[in-house]
Amino acid sequence: MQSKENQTDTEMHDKVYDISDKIYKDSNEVSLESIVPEAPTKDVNYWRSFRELYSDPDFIKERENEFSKDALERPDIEEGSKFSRRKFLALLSASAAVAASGCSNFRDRGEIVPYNAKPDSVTIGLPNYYASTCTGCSSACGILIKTLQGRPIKVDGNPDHPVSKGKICAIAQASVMSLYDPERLKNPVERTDKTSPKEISWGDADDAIIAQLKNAASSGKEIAVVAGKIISPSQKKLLEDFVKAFPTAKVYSYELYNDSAKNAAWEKCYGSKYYPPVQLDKAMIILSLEADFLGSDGNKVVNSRLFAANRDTETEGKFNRLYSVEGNASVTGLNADYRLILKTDLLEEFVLSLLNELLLVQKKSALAQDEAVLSKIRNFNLDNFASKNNLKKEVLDHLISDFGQNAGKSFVIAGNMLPESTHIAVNLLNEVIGGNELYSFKDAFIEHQPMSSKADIENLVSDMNSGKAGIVIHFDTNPVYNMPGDSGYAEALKKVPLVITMSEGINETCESGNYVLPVNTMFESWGDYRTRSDFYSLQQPVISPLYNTRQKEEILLTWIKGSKNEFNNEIYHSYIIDNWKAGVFTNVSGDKEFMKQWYAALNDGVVMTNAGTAQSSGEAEPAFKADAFTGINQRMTAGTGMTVVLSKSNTLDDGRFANNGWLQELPNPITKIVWDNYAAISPKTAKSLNIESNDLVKITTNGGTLELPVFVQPGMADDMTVIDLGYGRSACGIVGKDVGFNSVKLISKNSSLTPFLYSDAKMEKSSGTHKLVTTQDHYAFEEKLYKDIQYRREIIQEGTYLQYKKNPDFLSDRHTKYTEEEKEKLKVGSINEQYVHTGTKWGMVIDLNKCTGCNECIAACNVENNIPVVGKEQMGKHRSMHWMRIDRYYSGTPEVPKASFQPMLCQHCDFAPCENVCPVAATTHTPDGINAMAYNRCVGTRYCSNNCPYKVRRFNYFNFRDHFREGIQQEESFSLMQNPEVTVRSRGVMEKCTFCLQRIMLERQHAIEENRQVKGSNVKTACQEACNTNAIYFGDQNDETDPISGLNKSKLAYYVLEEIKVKPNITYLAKLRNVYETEETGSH
Amino acid sequence: MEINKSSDSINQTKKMKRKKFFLTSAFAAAGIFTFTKFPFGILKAKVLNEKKSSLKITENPNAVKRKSNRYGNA
Amino acid sequence: MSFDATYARELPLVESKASFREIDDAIIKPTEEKPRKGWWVAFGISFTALMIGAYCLGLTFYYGIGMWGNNQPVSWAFGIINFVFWIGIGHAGTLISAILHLFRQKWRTGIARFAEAMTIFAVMTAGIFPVIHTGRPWLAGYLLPLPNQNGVWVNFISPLLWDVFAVSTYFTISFLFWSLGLIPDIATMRDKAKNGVKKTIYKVLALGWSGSNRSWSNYERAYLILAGISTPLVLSVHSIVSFDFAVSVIPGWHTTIFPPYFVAGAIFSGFGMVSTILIIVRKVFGMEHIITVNHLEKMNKILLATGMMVGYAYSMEFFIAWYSGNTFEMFVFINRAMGPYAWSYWTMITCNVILPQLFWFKKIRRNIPITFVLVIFVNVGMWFERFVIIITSLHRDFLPASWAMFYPSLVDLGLLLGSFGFFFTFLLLFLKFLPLVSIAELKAVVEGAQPTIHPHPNGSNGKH
Repeated sequence: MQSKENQTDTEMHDKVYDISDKIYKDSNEVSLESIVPEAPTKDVNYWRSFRELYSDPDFIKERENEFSKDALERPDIEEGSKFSRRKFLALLSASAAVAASGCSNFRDRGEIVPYNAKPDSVTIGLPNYYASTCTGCSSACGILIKTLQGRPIKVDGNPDHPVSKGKICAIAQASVMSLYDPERLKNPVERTDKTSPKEISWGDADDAIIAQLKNAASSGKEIAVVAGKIISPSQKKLLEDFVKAFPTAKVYSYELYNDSAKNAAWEKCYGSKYYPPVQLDKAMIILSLEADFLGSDGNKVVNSRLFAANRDTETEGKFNRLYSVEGNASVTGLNADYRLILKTDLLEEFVLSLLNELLLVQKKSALAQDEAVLSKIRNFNLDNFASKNNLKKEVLDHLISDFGQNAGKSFVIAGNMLPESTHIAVNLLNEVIGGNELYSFKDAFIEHQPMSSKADIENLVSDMNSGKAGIVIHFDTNPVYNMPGDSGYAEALKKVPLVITMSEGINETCESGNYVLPVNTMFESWGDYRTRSDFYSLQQPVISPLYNTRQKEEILLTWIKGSKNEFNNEIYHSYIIDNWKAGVFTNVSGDKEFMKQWYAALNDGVVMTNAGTAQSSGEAEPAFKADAFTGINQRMTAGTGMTVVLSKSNTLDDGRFANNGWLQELPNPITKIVWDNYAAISPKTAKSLNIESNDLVKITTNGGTLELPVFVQPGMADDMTVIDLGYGRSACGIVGKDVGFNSVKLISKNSSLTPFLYSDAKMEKSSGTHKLVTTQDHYAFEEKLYKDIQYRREIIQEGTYLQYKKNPDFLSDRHTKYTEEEKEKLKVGSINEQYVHTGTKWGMVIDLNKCTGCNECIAACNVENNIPVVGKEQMGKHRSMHWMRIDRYYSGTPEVPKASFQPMLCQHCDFAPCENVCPVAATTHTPDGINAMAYNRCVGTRYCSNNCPYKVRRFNYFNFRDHFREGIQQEESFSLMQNPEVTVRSRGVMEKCTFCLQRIMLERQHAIEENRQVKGSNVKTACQEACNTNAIYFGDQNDETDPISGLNKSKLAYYVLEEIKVKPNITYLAKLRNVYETEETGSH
Repeated sequence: MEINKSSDSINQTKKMKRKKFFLTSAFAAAGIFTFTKFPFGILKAKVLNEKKSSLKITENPNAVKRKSNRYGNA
Repeated sequence: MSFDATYARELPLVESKASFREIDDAIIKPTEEKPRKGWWVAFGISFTALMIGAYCLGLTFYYGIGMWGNNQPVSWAFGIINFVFWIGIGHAGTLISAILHLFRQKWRTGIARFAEAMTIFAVMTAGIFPVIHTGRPWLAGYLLPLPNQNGVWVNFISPLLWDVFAVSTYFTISFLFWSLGLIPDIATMRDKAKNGVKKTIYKVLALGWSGSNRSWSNYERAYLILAGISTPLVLSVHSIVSFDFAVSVIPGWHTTIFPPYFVAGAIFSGFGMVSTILIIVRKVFGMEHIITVNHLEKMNKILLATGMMVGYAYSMEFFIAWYSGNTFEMFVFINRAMGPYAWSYWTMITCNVILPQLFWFKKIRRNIPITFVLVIFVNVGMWFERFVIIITSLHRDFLPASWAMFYPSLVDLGLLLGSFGFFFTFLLLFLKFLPLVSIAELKAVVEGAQPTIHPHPNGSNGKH
């Protein structure tokens, strides 16, 4: 029955088709009637199907019931496809079950064993602190080393140490990375005939060397020991013992930076060997002549602290004024209230003109009668000097009047690179203005061993050439790199039969040595240091040597003792103890008593002594010898060609830290350049030589020639360039190798002025460019669109000190004043109720008056929070991982700019725009006001970074530890460096400043233990702890007793981008420039 | 129409169905059994076993720790 | 026709008097024959582009987002530009198939199926980007409100999450709408198909469509419902995509004009892409009589209208920036027009606002080559609009110290090329295996298919 039904259907189907074809083909000629057999009973216009149209009898019968016969029937299953729905669903569920059972839990990290066999000294999670001394440079600051599980992970200043007083520089902060550097030398290496290195044991090395030392001593061959500056009494005694043991030994001490000109001038003027420390905290007027004392000149930690002591806006009479006359755009210069731009080799003439003005015209001090002095300065005149070099007249008048009003409270500092004659002139100037009252003679620097003079070094080189020197021992120094370009040291070294180099890492001197002996870092060494007369500073190893290394003093001591099995781990430790028994704790009877004092000294890290120099015992301070000034005949005069100044890099020092990624990546405070040195020149000089930034230039001085890129730096003097030293290491670890250009080549051994200043150098454009990478993009700040954009957007709000004195509310007066009820009307309620932070609310205040923009905070933050090194290429792509950055804004003109510094970090806003856009709620606000980041929850959509108005979030575009230099940071020793309390972030995760949450948690833990409220002032963030000028305050804003809540209400307090209403929690205190104008000219 | 044939054919089909049922369930049981025994371990990413650390961290006995200064070095 | 039209006679939708059988053959022919050389060339090109994209994606997964050009202020770039570009293109398809269906615009039948297919492929292309542009794509599951070990809900007030919902809804509904429309056609193909494999596949896909009156009535009702549901989608999805920017604080993004502006932009770029491909397809597959010049002219009119809307939005943004007196806003728009990325801004303006004005002239509207060129410009212009919005607002915002330039990396360009490859590969597969035009609907609008009031031969109006 069924099939018959189907047949009729198909027939009908075809019939319908034929009918429809006919209708279409010739529908216009054929009228309907001709094709329809008989007139339909129904209206021709309404028919449901053709069959109804020609009234097929079956159809009529079917139409009785409403639906056609099989319309309502369920379609026959069998008829459908064999692949039925039920089977499909069964298959689907089966495959799902199979798939689910296949996964495994990837979090399973294998077996975890409880830590029950615990050595007593180590409690997991509680840090140990050791007091020690940093020997990164010759200032020997006191440090506190924090160790967790026995591993040193953070270095901070030792508060009890008279030099550092709790603060430390970036090099010490990042020295942790040098300890864990996987490329440290690990085993003694013997290089037969200086070429093929082969690892040998300490015993064999000692045997061979002791034998050769003995026969060199007996055969009269000179044994030259090239050491750095000797600042350790025990080390000095050790070297003396060495000379006793091997009579032909001769000790040379050579440092690239030794401010010899300044000390020589001082000795001529006052007789004592070293320039004394200066009490800058008492100075109200400071004039810096090319002296970057807040940056790379002298000990910046001490100078910054003393300078900032007198930058206190609140207490009367504690706000100094800094003048700066310089050619280079330095940190000190751009922080100065008045800055005059003068080529460096004109400075002596400037000082003499000043003296002329002060002595002849205004007859200031007793020296005004000394005819010999007057004759020297008679033919200088300040006014025409100023007009000749277009220095602003009124600034000089202010300077002269300030000197007058602040006799005894003003001081002139001359840069280390200036020649002796200038320093003598400046010493005289300090006598005239009463600056000499600020010398603190009682804790003057002392000298253990005089630095080798130019002559000593020359005959060392000639001894080596002539074969007189049989053995040269490099006592952890790198003279092949540090010696002047034309000193010929490297060639001479080739002729010496036995060259022994002690070094932590690979350096140029190791390449040309017979023996390379790996030495301990400062974390693994004993030592006692004494730079000033009033204290001893102790250094103790917080960890036993990681690799098969020894301390350089231990090596010498073994050789002195004459045989390899004399060596034991305590050899130098007991040596120091013997020295101290004899030299320091003399008034102690018996060993037990001594050890008690010794342990107390190790605990404090410093031992104050009052032995001191002659001055401390009440003797009259040395008087200034005027004939030193009158005796000078050869003055520094303006050179004709290009002036080249070589300055110390405040991160790489003399190049020994080139392999430290953190230091290489710390941006230069002014130019923000990373991973390179460059020749900074002024915009006008660039135009005259038609070069622009990144172009390569060839610079020739009488020391040598060097090709390096140029960087156009606003505020530089014309026809002058400044180059950082310490770059371009040819033999170094993978991180620092060939980074930057070796400007030591430009130093000549018999330079007319000083090794760091050349006034008749040549600079010419050479082909090619070298891309310099900066962390902050440069924009033409003189164009109308960008001019003073930082003031217009009120990112930087500044005033003058007089303006603040006259009207403390000058800042709030700049905005329209609303009465109370207007404010009420304007109050815009919010649709969702606001979270009121009642308990602790963490906040930070940054005092821009104290901040000098020196980057210490960034260095400390990197160490504390395990920030990876990303490398030059990624920094070039603007992917720096630093959680903090110092923003530098220029105002004024490129020739004479004014700079404003502003540390910028996460503001932990109350209405954080990053929190409401994160789709996975990876960043949320904690009840105590911190914008917390859940790293394991972060998927990496990066919307939070887009929505942050301050752009302070950092994203792990790669696993940078694996990406930088073929994954050097994946090495096992680097994992020991990480701070275990801070998550090490993986690739694809956003990160930012967390207000050092790990330190807050520690305080919260202590609060719980001691059953008290969390106290805001107990928590010190890493940046606050490191800031040399204490410009950063951190604490609980809701706690009235906390200093920070007071500062929040200060009249100078403002928020950055306040009008976006994200309610940031970092308050900035407006910078006051101590100038005579009452109205801040630059701001509007 | 072969009506009578259909009765045993129907039985046939029913029997066929029952036979097919038993077959498939047997196969399913065998499949599940082998599946559970399949050593998935080899597929699981080898657990990153920390290689024995070649660097030994030992403190220097003569170094003097400061009394555990709880508030950082404030 | 002999009768006088008392009303404006509609242009015949299918120019030739094709009978049902002819329509079937015309549309199903391409699916039956071996693909011609032209198809293989096109498929080759788009497949290599897809492979290049896949390779670049592999690099990105292996190394990380660092392979792209994104940096710290500009942490969204090509990834999100492509996402917004492709999701925008999808909207025209839904508009044509759903909204015009509701408005009973009969002219849509020729292009509806194709436009709907394009929507689905565009949304699939767009859907890739939100996942691959995240830093840890293997944790993309966190974006879904599923129970997880952190015991944390997703953040329901984040626009990115709205995106996840919007795009997935949009895809499912478009897919349903499209496959529903396909069922009768596949059934026709099933009946015509000869050999076994193809027949079984079509049988499965036709879901047992028997063409019975019941299924037709269900089909019509379902089609209408789905058209109804997907109509609001056209407006809502791209508004939510625009919320990704409008909800933020960044000057240049934080404006209330974004939702309508983005929807107009989406329809604009959608019609741009539809007409680009239709011009080629109707030539290659000989469908001129089905996808007639009238269709193209109507689409050009819509292009002109939406182009003007987008132009209005640009000028309004400028005006509001000035009028608001907000220094950041003013700076952003001056920087867009005269800053380092001014070239991209003026490309956008010329392509989106100036060139479409040519469509005022009927001659140009009906001229195929010129339309093709203009429409390519529209696509380029719309891509650059997203480029301008995202890059210029991010690269210079509030603090001048965090300003930086963005430069795309090769992997960026590779992924862009890959996205076009992905889109065209699917499109070509669709053209090969599925009917390009909806046969069922076409039969409904062919001349004479509907009962029309034929005048009685002797002049009376068919009345007896």
